[in-house]
Amino acid sequence: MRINDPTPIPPAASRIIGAAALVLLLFVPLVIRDIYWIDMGITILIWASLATAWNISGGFAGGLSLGHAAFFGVGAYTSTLLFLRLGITPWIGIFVGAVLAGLLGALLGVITFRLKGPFFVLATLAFGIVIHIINVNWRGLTRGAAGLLLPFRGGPQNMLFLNLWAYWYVALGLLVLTVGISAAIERSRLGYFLVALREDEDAARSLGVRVVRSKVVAAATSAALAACVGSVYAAFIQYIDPDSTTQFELSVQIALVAIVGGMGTTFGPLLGAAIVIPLGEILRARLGGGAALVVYGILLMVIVLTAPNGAIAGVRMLVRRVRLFIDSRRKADA
Amino acid sequence: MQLVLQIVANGLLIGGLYALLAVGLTLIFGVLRVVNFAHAEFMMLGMYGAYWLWSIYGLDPYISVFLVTPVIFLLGVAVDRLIIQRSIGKPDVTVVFATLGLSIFLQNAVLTLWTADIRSVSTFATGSVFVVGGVRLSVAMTISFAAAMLFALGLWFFLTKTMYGKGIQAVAQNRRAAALMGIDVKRAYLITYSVAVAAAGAMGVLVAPIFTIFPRVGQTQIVTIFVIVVLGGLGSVPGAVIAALLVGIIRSGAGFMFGTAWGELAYFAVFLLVLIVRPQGLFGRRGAEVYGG
Amino acid sequence: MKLGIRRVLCVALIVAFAITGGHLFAGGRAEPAPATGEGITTLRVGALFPQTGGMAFGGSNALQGTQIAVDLFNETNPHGITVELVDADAPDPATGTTGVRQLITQRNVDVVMGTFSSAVASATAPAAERLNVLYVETTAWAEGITRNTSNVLRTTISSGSLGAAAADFILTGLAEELGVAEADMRVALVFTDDEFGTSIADAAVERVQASQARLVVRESYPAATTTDLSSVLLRIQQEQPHAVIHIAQVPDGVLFWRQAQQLGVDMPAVVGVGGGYGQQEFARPLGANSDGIFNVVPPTSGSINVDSLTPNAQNLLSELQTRVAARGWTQGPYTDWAFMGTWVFLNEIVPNAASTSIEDFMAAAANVRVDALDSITGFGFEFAGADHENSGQNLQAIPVVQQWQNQELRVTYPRELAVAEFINVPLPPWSERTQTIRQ
Repeated sequence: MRINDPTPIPPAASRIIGAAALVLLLFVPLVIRDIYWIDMGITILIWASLATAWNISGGFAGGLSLGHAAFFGVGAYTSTLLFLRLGITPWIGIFVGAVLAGLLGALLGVITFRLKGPFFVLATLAFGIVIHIINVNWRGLTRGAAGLLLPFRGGPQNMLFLNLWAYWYVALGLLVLTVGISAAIERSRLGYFLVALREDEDAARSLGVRVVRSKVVAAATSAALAACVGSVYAAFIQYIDPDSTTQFELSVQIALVAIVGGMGTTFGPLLGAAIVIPLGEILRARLGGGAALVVYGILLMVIVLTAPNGAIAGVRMLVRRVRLFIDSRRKADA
Repeated sequence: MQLVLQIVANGLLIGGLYALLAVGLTLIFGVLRVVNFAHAEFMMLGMYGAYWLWSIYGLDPYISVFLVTPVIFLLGVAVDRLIIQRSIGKPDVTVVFATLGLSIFLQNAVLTLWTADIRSVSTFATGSVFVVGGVRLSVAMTISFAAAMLFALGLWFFLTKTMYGKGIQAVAQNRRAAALMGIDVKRAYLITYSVAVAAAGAMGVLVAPIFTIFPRVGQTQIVTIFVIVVLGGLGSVPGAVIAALLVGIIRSGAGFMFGTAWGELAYFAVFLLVLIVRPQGLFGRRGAEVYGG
Repeated sequence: MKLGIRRVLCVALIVAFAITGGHLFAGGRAEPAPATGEGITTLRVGALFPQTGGMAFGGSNALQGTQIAVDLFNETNPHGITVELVDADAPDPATGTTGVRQLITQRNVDVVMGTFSSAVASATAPAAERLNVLYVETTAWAEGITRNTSNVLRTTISSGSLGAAAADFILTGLAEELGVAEADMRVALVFTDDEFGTSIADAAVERVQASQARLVVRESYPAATTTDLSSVLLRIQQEQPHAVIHIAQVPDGVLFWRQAQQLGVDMPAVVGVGGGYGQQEFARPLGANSDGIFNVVPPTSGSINVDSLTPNAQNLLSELQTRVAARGWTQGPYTDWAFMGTWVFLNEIVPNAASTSIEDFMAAAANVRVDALDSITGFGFEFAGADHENSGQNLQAIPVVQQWQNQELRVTYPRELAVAEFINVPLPPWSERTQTIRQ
């Protein structure tokens, strides 16, 4: 697993780009009046956060998880059940869900830190399915397949809005949180440890990297953030059931978004969400569901076979070209 | 006692079906180091092959299996050339998601071509049983069980007793050294992949009289098969067979005792436990899980 | 540099909130429904059904029924109203929810129809409610769809009445036919763990537990991934129930019976509840072994005595059959229910609604009275008012008990609606059946 990174975008430049993007995103609801596009935008933001959360363990630490729907589901169900049963607002429930999922993630990390490649993938897959089976069958708690409908009461103090724009800002806030944590990890000691472990575990260990602790912290953080996204999703769709929260297909799509964008980078998952979600929607509307998924499958194969570093690698190449061009112009002027 | 025997027999028979898929999957992993997420889709294609030949030409699946299997073999050759060979030696992400993409593609291509209609094949074997000591065995299941065991045995013989098979084993152990010894590694990959998916296709034909046929039918199997190959030790053919029979019996027994839903949980629990305690599986090479190939 | 960015961000944040904040917390719809004048001249109908994924089969059937009803309405068009149909795929609740929003806000539909899947409808009906749009449910049965919402008209049955009807039939008509007293009756319940299965099972359990009969087996399994039901069947064999209620999709329904035959599990009576048990694809592979299997559903054109319908209804049915055949589709029960539900909505409610607001539609629906004999499905239409627990529910959608007889579903209970006598009660043991091979 080697992520070629010939020209990392310098921190200052990426900060400026990030800030500019954020400002743009803040004003989007003022420009776009069509609920459909707002809806799509919120979905993209939610998926961007989810893929970013996945990327912390999947991209930085190199553990391709196919069980992240479990954490998403734990978040969605925790905040929703706390609200329905005890009247606790999802604004608090989201943190309870994050803590629960974080503990689960740490547990999974402890179990799987030794496993490599396909073994790790299959272990996370099995873990996700165990959570799904429990979700479907523990009907006393989750109501099983009947799902949970969030009754529309309370309003903003319960993270329930009639106006879709509000969800835009909630989702944007969530994205800032996940990307912030992701970027902080990338630049921290932990981030360097994780990349070192991903590239060569034995060498890293001999240089004093604390293997278990680094991996478990990454797994827990990733799980906790995925759970936060789950809580926001539940408040947004206002109906959750096992198939839409803990199913295996969801785990696949989470990983897919990050991979298409470019795993192991902070902005890759964001780019991935911006590509995959609208593409899926457009294909579904234009070609119908079955044909859309045919295209989806082909795209997935082509991308991982020809550009395993994801779309972000292409963007970086472009940035480099532009910079070279500017440099050469400057030289010519001088 | 009668009941216990019947539960074990049911478990063994269904385990035999799993085995035919699991042996191929584990072989692909052992030799190519690729997790073939699309494996059960070849079974699905085999089922459709059996269905069309039966409904249009009235061919019994036990005859059409000899027509469908070579076709699936050729499909395997094409997939190997187009996708699998290109993903070998690439990062894990390519190896895992290329075949996942193939699985999505095949499922939905079939959905688009032949609709979501649920089809079925009924032959003399569909409802017939024979009774051994009070235990009832389905004829169709017994035939596919026998086919699975024969395939596994034949494969084992091929791998351990023939020159070519030994060559493939050498590739599995160390592809660079094998190449240096003059073994055509790419050809070994091609043969391995195509034989394994052809076996999955053959299984599809053989179970067509038992199961209904629809585009997502492969999804009903694939996760169970993964559990089996890891339990048996990824790459180990005898391990896959024994684990398949074991999972069949655990599922059948736990399903009877705790109900089907919680019975499902039982073998996943066993699976996770094995991963923690003995991650190389029951029969896998020690250390494989750490080096990952 | 850093400071500068922060300052810009802060200002941007404040400005954005200042401008949008008022909207955010005021609530209310983002875009109010356009006021329409007296009566409706064109109606845009959004059809929301699963066309991909695990429920594509039934969902496509239902969409086809809807499509034909709209085509036929536009061609006959006695009221000068043009209907445009826009469809969207709804394989899961999240896609369905965005589908509803897309249909309403981008494709400007005035009403959403759906949904086949109970799980999807549980999410999409409230989603339409938040956008103040009527939701007509022609094919999904979950009890909650009408219970939790104020914008739903359901032309088909609810799961509660189905589960209760199955249990009632076992405790009365079937017990009598089998010659077993209620107190001695042993009932087994096997169901899929999805919304469809559990919602029907819950109602059946409630009814059985309130009686003197005993519930001896209660098993659920995942319909989508089950490849082996032998352990359920062995439980049944051990407990020897008089009647088994099985709620299934097609693949697991067929598997259940094939394995029952293989294992020689004799069951005196099996009562399916819709889903798989109502489909030709279920009975065909079982051949003569399907004879005598019960199925509790709202009736369909295939199960009632068509000759007793009014000429109008008979014409309508032959029109439907011709069009289904002409397009190479297959006519299943969901085709019937979706077609008839849509037909009644377009002909009886739309022309009498003053506008496309939920209130006007509901007011028009309150006056609907369609006799059972005027309907190709053999059940009438009369919608529960707002004060009813299940407001908007078609109260005339009452289940009947059908029986598979020679590959066809015939209504056998209640007696006054029956078109055929019971056969195979109790079902013959496997040892007395001959092997059947069917093409």
